Amino acid sequence: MDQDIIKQRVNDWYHTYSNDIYKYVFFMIGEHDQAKDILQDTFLRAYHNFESFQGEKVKNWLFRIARNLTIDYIRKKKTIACLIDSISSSKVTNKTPEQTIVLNETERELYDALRKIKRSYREVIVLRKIKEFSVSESCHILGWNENKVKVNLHRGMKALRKQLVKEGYRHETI
Amino acid sequence: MKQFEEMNEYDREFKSMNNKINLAQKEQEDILYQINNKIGRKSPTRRQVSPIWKYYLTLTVTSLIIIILSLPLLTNIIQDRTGNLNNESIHQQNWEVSPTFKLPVTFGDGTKGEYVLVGKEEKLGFLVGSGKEGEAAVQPIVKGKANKYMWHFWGSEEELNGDFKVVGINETGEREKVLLGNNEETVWNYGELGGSNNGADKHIPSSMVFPTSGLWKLEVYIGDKMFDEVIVHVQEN
Repeated sequence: MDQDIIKQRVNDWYHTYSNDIYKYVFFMIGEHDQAKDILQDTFLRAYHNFESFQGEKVKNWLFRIARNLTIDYIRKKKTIACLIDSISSSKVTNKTPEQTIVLNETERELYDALRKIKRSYREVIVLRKIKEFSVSESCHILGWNENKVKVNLHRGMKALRKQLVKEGYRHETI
Repeated sequence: MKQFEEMNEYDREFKSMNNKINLAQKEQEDILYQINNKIGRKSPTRRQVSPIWKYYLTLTVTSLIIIILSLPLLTNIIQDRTGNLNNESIHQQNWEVSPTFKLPVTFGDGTKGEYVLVGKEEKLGFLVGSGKEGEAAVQPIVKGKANKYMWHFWGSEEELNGDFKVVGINETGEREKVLLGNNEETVWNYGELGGSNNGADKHIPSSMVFPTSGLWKLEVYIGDKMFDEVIVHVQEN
C-alpha cells in the first residue's frame, strides 16, 4: 500500500483514539510526559507495522500496541529503579502527577490505590472499568482468555478495596 | 450476587476519572506533528532486504566466524601431521649448541667417575659421555646413527608429571620425530618419566636418531607443556 495512504490512515486513527490511548497509558503508569511518549511510539509502531494489521478492530489493535509498549516501559523502569536503589539506597520520589489535580478526593484515593496494586490487576481494571472495554475486547488486547480476564478483574477489585482499607480510606465491612 | 454488587462499587468514580483525565488539544497536535515528522524522515525509503539475501549473508558471516575460531586448532593439527613449523628457520640463526655439564658417579667396581650431559644444568640433559673422574669425553652425535641416550630431569613432581615427548627441529625448520620406538620406527613420545637417577629427580632412557647433520633443536614436552629445549650439533659422520 502507498506510504502516503498509510500515513493518512494512521493520522485518522490518531484523531479518533489518541486521547483514549493516552488515558489508558496514564492510568497504567501515572506519568504524563511518559504517557505522551508511549502514545507517540504507539502510532509510529502502528505505521511501521501496518502490514501486520489484519483488518481487526483498529481500536483493539492500537491498544494492544500501547499495552506492549507500556509493559516494556514498566519493566525498564523497574530495572532502573532497582539499580538506583542498590547503588544509592535512595527512594525514587513519587510526585503527584499534574493530571490528578483535577480529581476529587474519592477519585484521588481510588487512583492512588490503583497505582499500588499488581500490574495485571491494574490493567484489567483500567480496561474493563475505566475504558469500559467488553470482556472479549479485553481478551484481545491482553492476549488472555475470557476466564483469566474475569478472575483477574474480580481479584483486582478485591485487591483495590483492600488497598483502600490499608490506606485508611475505607473501613472494612463486617 | 454480592460479588457483582461489589464489582459495580466504584463504577461512577471510574467513569468520572476517565472523563477528567485528558490530553490537552495543543499537546495532542504536537505529538501528531512529531509522529508525521518521524514518519516522513524514515520510512518511504526504507529498504526491504529479501529473505534469501539475509540467509546468504547469515551463512557467510557464520562460516567466517567458524573459520576464524578454528584457525588455531587447524594450525595445530597441520603442524602435528606434517611436523612443520614454517617460521622456525628464522630463529635457527640464533641457535647455540647447549652446554655440557658433568654429574659425579660411582661405578659398579667402586671407582669414581663422571657422566657428561648436554642440556641445562639442574634442569634437563641427556648423557653424551662418561669416564673416570676428569677423563670423561663427549661422544659425538652422528647423522643417521641410532644411539641410546639417558635423559635426566630436575624439577618438582608436578612439572615432571606426564608423557615424555621430543620434537626435533632441523635447520630448515622442519619438525621431525627423533625418538625411536620399540619397532625401530620414530615416535613423538614415550610414556611417563622414571624415578630419580644419578642425582636427578627423574630420568628416562631413550634411543634417538637424527636424519640430517647440522644443528637440531630438541623441544622437550612433559605432558602437554613444553619443559625446555636442548640444541645439539649432529655430525655428518
